[in-house]
Amino acid sequence: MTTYREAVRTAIQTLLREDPRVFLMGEDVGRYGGAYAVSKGFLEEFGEERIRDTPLCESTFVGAGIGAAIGGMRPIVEVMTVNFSLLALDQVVNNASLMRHMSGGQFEVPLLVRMATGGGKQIAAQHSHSLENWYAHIPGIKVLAPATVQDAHDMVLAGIEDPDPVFIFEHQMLYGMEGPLDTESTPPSPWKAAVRREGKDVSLIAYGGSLHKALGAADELEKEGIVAEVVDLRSLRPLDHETIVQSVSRTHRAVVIDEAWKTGSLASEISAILAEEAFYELDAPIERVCTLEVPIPYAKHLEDAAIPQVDRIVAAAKRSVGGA
Amino acid sequence: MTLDISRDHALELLRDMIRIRRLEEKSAELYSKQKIRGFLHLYIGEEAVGVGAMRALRMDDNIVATYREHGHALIRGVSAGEIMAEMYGKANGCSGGRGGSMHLFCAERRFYGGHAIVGGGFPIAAGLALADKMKGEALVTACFFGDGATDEGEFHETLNLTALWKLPVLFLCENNQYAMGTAFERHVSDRDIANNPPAYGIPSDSVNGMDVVAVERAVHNAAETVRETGAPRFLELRTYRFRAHSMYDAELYRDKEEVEEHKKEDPIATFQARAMSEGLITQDDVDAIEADAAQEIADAVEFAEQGEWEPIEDIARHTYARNLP
Amino acid sequence: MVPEFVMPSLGADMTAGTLAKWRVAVGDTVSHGDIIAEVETDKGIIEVEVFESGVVQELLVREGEKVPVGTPMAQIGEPGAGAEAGAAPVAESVAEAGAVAESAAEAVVVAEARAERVTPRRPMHRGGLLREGPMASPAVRRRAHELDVSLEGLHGSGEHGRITIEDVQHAAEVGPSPSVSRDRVRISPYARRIAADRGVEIERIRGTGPGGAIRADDVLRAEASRPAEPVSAADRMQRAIAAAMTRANDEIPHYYVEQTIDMGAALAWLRDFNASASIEERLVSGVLVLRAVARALRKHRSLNATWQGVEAVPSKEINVGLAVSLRGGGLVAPALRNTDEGSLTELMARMTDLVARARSGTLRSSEMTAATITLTALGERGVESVTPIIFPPQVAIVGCGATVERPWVVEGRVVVRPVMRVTLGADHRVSNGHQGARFLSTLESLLQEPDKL
Repeated sequence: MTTYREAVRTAIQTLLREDPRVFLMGEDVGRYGGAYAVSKGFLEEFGEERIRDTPLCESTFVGAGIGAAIGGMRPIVEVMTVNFSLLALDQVVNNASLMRHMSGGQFEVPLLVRMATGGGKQIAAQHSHSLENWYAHIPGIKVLAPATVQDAHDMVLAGIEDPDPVFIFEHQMLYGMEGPLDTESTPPSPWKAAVRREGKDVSLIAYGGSLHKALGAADELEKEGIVAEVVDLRSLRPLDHETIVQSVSRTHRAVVIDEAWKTGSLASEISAILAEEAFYELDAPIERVCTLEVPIPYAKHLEDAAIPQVDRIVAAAKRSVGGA
Repeated sequence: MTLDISRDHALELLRDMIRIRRLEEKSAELYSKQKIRGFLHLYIGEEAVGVGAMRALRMDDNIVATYREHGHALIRGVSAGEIMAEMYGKANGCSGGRGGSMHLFCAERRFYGGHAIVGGGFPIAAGLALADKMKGEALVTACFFGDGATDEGEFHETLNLTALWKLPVLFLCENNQYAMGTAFERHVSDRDIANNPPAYGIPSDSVNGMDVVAVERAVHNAAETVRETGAPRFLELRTYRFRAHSMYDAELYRDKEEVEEHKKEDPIATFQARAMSEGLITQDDVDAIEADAAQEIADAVEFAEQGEWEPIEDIARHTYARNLP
Repeated sequence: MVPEFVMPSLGADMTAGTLAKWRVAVGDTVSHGDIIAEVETDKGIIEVEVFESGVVQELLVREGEKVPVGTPMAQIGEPGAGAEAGAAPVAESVAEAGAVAESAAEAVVVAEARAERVTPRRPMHRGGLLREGPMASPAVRRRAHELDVSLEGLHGSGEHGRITIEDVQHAAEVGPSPSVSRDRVRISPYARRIAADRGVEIERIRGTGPGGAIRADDVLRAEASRPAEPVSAADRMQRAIAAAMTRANDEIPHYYVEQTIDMGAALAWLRDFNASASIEERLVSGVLVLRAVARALRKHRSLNATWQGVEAVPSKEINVGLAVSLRGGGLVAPALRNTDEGSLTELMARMTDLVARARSGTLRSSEMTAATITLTALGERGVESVTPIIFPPQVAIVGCGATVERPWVVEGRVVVRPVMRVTLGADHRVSNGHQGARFLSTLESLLQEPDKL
């Protein structure tokens, strides 16, 4: 068994060993070993030139990653968390996503940006955001959300291989999670959603940290005779319409779980896709289980109440199935 | 003090400045006739900076420019036709009609745009220089920006990062005295902009940006120093824009007298007069340059007029390497 | 062609500019790049340059005048050329723009913009733009504007669906009509789909979801419990009636108007007529009412129509359906085609035949579907008034009670007269109470002159 952290680390290490164009930069990725200890020991193995501790200037080091990618390198930029990435949004929205298009296809940005996301650790409002949907809104970049140990590894490899800018959101609660890791087999396409558990009564659609809550809810529901299917979106841009529409066409009910605030969320987008493409399959209103529309509070009981939990998913699924 | 350059050199400098000006005058005309749309920022008055700097850089150096970049692109070797077609929005434009006036790009000439978010080009320049450094290539990344960009956090962040990491960036501040409509002294606390970089350990200098020969020399020396040391340098090029910020600008923020005063330093007129008085060039030379420029611009307009519109079916092209499902 | 100096476009959002000042006069020589005028824009006064060289021959726009981008403002000629060479036919170019506008809706805007500078008159011709919208007179549009009623989706009760002032006023009173839906049963999209696939009538399904919503499981249960044996004809009929009445009650916003009609003249005429007629030719009062209803509909076509999903379509024929109760308990309302035509004797014969065949179950299918309105007369059962439910897709129904003797005021004196209470039930999406009342009034008048029926 391997941890999620170890899986990310293994993938980056493989890349650093195999491709001289790959380098890692970000705040505290070197001496400190990474805020989430993903790059511990890298400085010793790969040296200062390829493991770059940056000043605290998100906009400039993300932009420098864009420039270096255009210049022929394969940078992996670690923006400690999505909360800090807001300082770099201009570079993401105005440069990374637009360079290829504005230049008529002359310049590409094979950049990989990783960051932690999500709440649940009592680190309060400024450090608990889930803003993946902001990124998923932007044409020109791609967005991945690994929820399993295997994906944590495979998506880093896929992100570097991709000729376009790829943003990976690692949920901060998952780094210690253990799971099997296979580094030999050919991984599945990262751009397709996966059915993590098959079912017939209701589709629980989730990604990232919420996937495990959805799986927990499915266990609960099974005790009451409700067999839930659990879909892991995996890629947030592009979104895999086909898999979610197929799942709901089997179950005819959908509960979308998203740690973002409900308004304007990916859960909203999934709901709209289902309304557009699976309307005649729906036997119940689509349910969304999202974070309450409040800043994430510090106190544990309040934080737990704010973000999606198993009991809320179970309740939504029961409403959907009609047994409640 | 004499110009101390050859006749051919003088002819080239004058020719390039006149080419930029005629191209832009034509652009203004075509904008008024609605052939060119969107924003159009003219460089008229600042030609000595673009011409002097571009001639001092090597073709394998990287260029990161701003949205007032027609002149830079032209002197870098992007044809007037491709520039004009881009402003028309035609598929034969240098960015395939997707960029327009503010987003001229040319991979072949290492011309990395055409950036219209003020300050947004700094980190890109740092990244290009970082790539060169990591690849062991002794190249210079020239980063053009206006005085307004020095207000931005990215300016200071990039000075810090390039000094800390010793990245070969040549910062070229085209100080035309205005951040759009806000005068220099109204947006910068220290009136000597060249004071900033030394705070980060970056040597800096100021040059008369209306003197093409002075610009060329200063940029050449600075670029070669960057090339040798691998570390950043900063040059302030003091210039002035004769035209409004963009076409749709009533210029409420400056007096006509101020503009007229600066026009006395017109980089083309002053250089032409000096070169003629020193006997380097003649009126016949000037007439020939003007005739050539007129022909070049006429051909460029024809090239743009003849260009095709990209079919709407291809709208998604270049959003990603491969269109998403 | 003499070069023109036109109002320049200085920004994509600039559509017009006001000439603040000419910086040149007729006869001045100008060259490429000269500032020729000052133009006031939303952003302030901007100096504009000329891109031609020559002599100013004519200034076409006065200072202070606002003109659209592209408008010729001055003629610039060769030095020494006569002014008339460049006489600018501004009016002509406006006319040209107008001509183009006839063929392209987009150009209408141009014509309007140009017309603005020549004359404040709005262009008369606006292409086909208006024709696609709802039909409504300017007065109606103004009233709609005053009452903040959107004409889009508003049903017009006027001729050919034209929206009338009453329609607008009604809409203002009752608020926007609910979005048009043929079926307002609460049912999930998936359940609706499988019910259609499996031939399960939605009306028969009991919904167990929130608010009684029908869900897929309910459809499957209903399908499973569907009787294996074919049901009797009477049961089928009763079910059809139930479904139709439920739908009508759910879907149609009914309104009712009632009038008590003096039947004295009609009954007196009937007595006289029957006294001289052979037994076969004798009439009953019901046939007079039937004919009067049909004739009244000639004047009130909005009640003689069918609802076609989104709007009512006036029926060409007047086919009054006659509600006939059957001995087994069923109810049918077969139509008497063209009820307003032919002699009363003939109508009497047709009515007798129709009722007999209805009770013997030998109606033709066309008779079952042709009705454009229904008349239900329950007088023989002794009731005095009926509040009937419309048979979809009809939009009105007339109910008659018994003719009874009641005190009645005639010319200031109380007398005893035979009177009948008539109730009109109608679809408020199609007509309104005023129209209904006028119909009853017409009916009443007709029954006062039975000899003309």
